Amino acid sequence: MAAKIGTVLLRASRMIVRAQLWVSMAALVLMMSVVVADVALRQLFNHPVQGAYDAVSILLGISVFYALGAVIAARNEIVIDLVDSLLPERAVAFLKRIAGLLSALVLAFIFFAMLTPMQEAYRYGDISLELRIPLWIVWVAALIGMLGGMLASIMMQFAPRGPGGMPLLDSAGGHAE
Amino acid sequence: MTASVLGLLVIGLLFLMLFLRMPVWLTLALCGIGGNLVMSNFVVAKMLAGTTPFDVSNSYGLSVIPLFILMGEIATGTRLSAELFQAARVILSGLRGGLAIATIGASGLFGAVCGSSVATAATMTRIALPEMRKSGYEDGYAAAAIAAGGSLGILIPPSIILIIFGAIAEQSIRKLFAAALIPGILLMLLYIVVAVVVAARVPGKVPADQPAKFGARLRALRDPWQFAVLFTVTIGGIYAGIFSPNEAAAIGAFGAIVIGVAGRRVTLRKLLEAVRTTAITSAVLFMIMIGATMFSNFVVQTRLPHVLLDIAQSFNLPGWGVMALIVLIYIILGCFLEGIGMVLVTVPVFLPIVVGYGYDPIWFAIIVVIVVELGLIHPPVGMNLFVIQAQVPDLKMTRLYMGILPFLLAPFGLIALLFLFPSIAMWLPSLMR
Repeated sequence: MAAKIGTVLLRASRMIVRAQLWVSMAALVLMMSVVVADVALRQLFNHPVQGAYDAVSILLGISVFYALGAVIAARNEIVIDLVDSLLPERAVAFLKRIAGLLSALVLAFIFFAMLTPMQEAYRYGDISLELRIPLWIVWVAALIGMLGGMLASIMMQFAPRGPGGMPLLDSAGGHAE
Repeated sequence: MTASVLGLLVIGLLFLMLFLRMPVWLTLALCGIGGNLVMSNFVVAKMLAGTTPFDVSNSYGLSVIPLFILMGEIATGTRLSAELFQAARVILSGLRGGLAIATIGASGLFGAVCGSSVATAATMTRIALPEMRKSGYEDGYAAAAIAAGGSLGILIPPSIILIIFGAIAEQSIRKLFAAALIPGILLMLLYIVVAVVVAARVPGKVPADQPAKFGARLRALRDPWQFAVLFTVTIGGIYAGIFSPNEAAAIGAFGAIVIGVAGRRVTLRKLLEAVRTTAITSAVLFMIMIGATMFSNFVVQTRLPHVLLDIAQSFNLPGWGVMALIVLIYIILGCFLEGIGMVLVTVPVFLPIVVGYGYDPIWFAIIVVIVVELGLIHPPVGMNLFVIQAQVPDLKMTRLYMGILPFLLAPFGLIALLFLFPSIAMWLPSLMR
């Protein structure tokens, strides 16, 4: 029963992380399109896209935050793996576990710390400069992305099979199996 | 305990954690948050942890990073690099070592649209190594030419490391790109000189091939026109002041898609793969930059760089002596640290010292990138060497190590030239408004 619940949870996490990665990819393409349209309209018609600066900043944030889960789930983080050849496999697997645990803790702390500025943005009615979007919405979007990162780092603690553990996703963001 | 001693202890902890294979972003973030917690209080540490990820990830100026990565990913997926290599190969045919020279030249040019050394080395291994093997080139020499040429990708603009340096050191990306152009070309020429000298001194390693006719050479110049368009529009646009780096990066990425789709070089599947890889790679870099921003905030508070500067000055060390020491530290760190991580960990500490001795941060950026480049190819841990070996498992690592040794002279020579003639890097930026 517990194993079945675990499998369902893992599958759900994988789906969430992959869905977030698609959001990140869409934000990236949209960001490129906004800049290209802005340049084209400015050069050709002397009429730049209104709010391009805000749009690019917000889309960049979404692209980064929504890819965090995929980075962690696919173990794409940059690591100096010098000790891999010096230590036995079990010790390396133990270090990977510690790193995963610390990642989850730090991401949780950052998530918790981000709640305050989000609440302040809501309380003071902060808005973006050009598009006049309430900034708390942007903060909430970032926090949802962070949740994906936290989820991935927590699930990585349970997902592993064998020494060092298998990633939830492959290095390109697809299924690891 | 004084703040600077605490700073040194945290830096020691940072290296220990890195050695124990903690992810670079995590190490930087933990040391930054933890350091602030000890130096200030919980409220300050929490504020830093809460605002830094949002500020870094929503920074308009940093949008240049994913956009240039996207351009490089798409360019890598097309036949652009193969066309560059074939053109260079025909033009240089008949020269002893012509294929190696073509590889270095094509790598340098491809680096100008790709921006990644590892991607350039990986692509060139697939394209150039089989050709060189077929022509009877010695494996070590052939692979070393690819590794050296591939490393040019991070110096010749657009360079992701230079963008990251610009972000943390608050320097103009336009000026950094301008400063890197001449040293980048010079390094390419130095690698070519090494390839020619090795080919001439050890003829057994490199057979000569048949020279192509003049007409064929001329026709070969025409083939990589898409590359010329992409480079002229993006990097030329930045130098000419027509586009900001962000705009050039977006137009470059869009242009690469148009070239790929129009020439039926990329499928929708390949395009999606490129976007996916870009999203993940960018997030990896941003995670490190978020951690590095937290860490550098802590380093600034400790005033450690100023204390180190005072110590260096109290020993009456000349500026060049201090710089030589810093370069040596970078070379040692390059043996086991990854390039971007190395830049983000060290620049907050070293930059104030370098500036304190009157050196220009832009000149220092170029030195740092060359040393990072050196780290990509020098044994025992040269990332480009591993990338090549991973793709050609029957290639012996010892041959690659022996082959790369003469090529190491080129970056060392360039560093020496930059010390003697800083204007190699500073001339082009000085022409910019």
